[in-house]
Amino acid sequence: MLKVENLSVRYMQRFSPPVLAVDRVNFQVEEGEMVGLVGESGSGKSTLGLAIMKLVSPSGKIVGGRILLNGRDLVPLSEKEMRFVRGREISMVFQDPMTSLDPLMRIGDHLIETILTHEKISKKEAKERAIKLLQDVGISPDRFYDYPHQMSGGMRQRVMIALALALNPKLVIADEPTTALDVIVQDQIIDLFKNLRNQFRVAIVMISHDLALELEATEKMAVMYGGWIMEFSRSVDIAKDPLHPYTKALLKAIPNIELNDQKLISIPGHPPDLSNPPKGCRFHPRCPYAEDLCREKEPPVHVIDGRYVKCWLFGSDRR
Amino acid sequence: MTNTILQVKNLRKHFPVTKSFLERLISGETEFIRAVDGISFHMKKGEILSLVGESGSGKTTTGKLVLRLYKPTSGKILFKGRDITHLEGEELRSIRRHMQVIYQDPYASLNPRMKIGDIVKDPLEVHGIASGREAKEMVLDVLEEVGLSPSDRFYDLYPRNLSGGQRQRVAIARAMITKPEFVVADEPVSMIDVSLRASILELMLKFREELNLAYLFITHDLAVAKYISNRIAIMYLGKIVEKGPTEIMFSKPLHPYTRALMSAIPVPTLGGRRERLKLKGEIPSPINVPSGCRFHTRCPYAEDICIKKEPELVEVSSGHLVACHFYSS
Repeated sequence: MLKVENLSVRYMQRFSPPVLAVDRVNFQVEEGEMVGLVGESGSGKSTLGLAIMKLVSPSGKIVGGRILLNGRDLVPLSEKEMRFVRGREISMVFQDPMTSLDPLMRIGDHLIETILTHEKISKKEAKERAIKLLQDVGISPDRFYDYPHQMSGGMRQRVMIALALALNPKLVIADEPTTALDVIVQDQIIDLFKNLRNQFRVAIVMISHDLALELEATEKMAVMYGGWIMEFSRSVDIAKDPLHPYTKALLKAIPNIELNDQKLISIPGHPPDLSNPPKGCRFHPRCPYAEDLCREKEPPVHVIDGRYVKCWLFGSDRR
Repeated sequence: MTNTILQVKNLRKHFPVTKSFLERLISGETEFIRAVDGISFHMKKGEILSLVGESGSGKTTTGKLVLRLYKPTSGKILFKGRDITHLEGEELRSIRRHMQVIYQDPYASLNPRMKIGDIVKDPLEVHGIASGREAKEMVLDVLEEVGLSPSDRFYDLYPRNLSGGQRQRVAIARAMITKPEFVVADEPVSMIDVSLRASILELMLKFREELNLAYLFITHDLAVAKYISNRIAIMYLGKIVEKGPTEIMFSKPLHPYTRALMSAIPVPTLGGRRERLKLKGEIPSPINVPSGCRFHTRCPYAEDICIKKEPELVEVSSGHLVACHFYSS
């Protein structure tokens, strides 16, 4: 249902050269699927999420590629046309529910307002829908008149999810939806996403820096680094047999409670400066397998058993 | 007991809830946030003890109490056998030279207007350890040690010139320059990119070897706690609910809260989710602490006694203590 093709996003900066935060990325999401976008800060994962909603302006601009939503390209759409896409077809959940909810507005009114802005129905019908939405996300209707500050972090995030679902979108983009929450609440929110997915066939793109969480929660995932998608495949394949050297290195760098006497190995060096990215493969300065070719030429995307990997190690031409 | 660096006995910190004049007229009584509500533990020299809990569990307040950045409401803190609970002024400062802190946010914990060299040098001057040329030499040495090399280049930079990982190295250098025996590390890697976390943890371990220093490691992340610590204490609403050696805490967790926390940690290599011990709701407010066992409102096994009586922390095997009625006999 969502197909991102060769998408690039550039940010203009006042005192430094422009940054290509997302650089010709490709991935797709099927109906009802939970797909992860994982990466460290500066990898482009949040920009990619915002770009799908066409929310990168004014400092950013989509400079190439297509965003096909059920076959229709969103890139050429005007801001006015996008207003009918946002909320109805794609919606978004952000990391911090405290700053994305109006502190002076009761959560019920938030929901009613969202519904009435987009749909011509009576206030009574909107209220019924709002109560139903709260129930769908596990909030009892007697919290309808609560203000955001009266709720816990997890509850507020549930309200955000209810708002995102208010107009029955087919795709929800969730940017670090559990990062501000504790593990037990994080787990509850992931459960909620899974239920919603099963119940309403809504597809979820979950953006996170937490590789372990993404590997557990999603069906497919894209590992991003320096504006590129380095690896895209079923999450279980990445968990059991990561292909890209970056993914492999990340898995060795994070603690795993199932292992005893684990030795953590951090990845040497630093993430690339995208206003002046390294030549060739963007990971080569930190890659243990880097060869001359990697330092010179950008690696192509290889497809191996339905898995996508952007690395020189995998071409049949090189084996 | 010469091997003990820190002893905490029945420590409490209650913060009064600020109210408006009108609210005071209506309700009369002052309410308290019972952030830390009677905890005891000890630490040996060179030991790493992790305090693990959710937000609101009181772990950060505990760290600030033992550093005497807060005044305890009651209880005792003994540092190397000396009661520091009520120390003030110069006496407190002389103790602080031996206890340091590393905070979570390297963007907020470094003064943006100070050069790296001056930030790291500051403790030397505050404690009168060294000044001038000698101090500068010591700063350059410790910058090299934390991997900010060449140190003379980093000396004149400002925090804004550094990445998050490098800033945390500066914070570690500042903590280590007085050669402390005890360091509180409050979520030191939570804001660091995952690819660099291991190197920060390694650096902290290196200083432990060198200085035989003890860390009170405060974290919400049990996976990191497992990696770094000798012992783990799990906090819930201002109390320690279970503590013990790290291996035992992971191989034989007893308290339902510990088990729920452990089962909620994502495991990267399984390609699926593990069996969960699921809890309802979220941590209650520390203003209205539930009666009896304060965990009973979320515990899937709670019985009558749990609502009525608060469980004591009892030892179930060597060094492994749990506060739960199901294990008290």
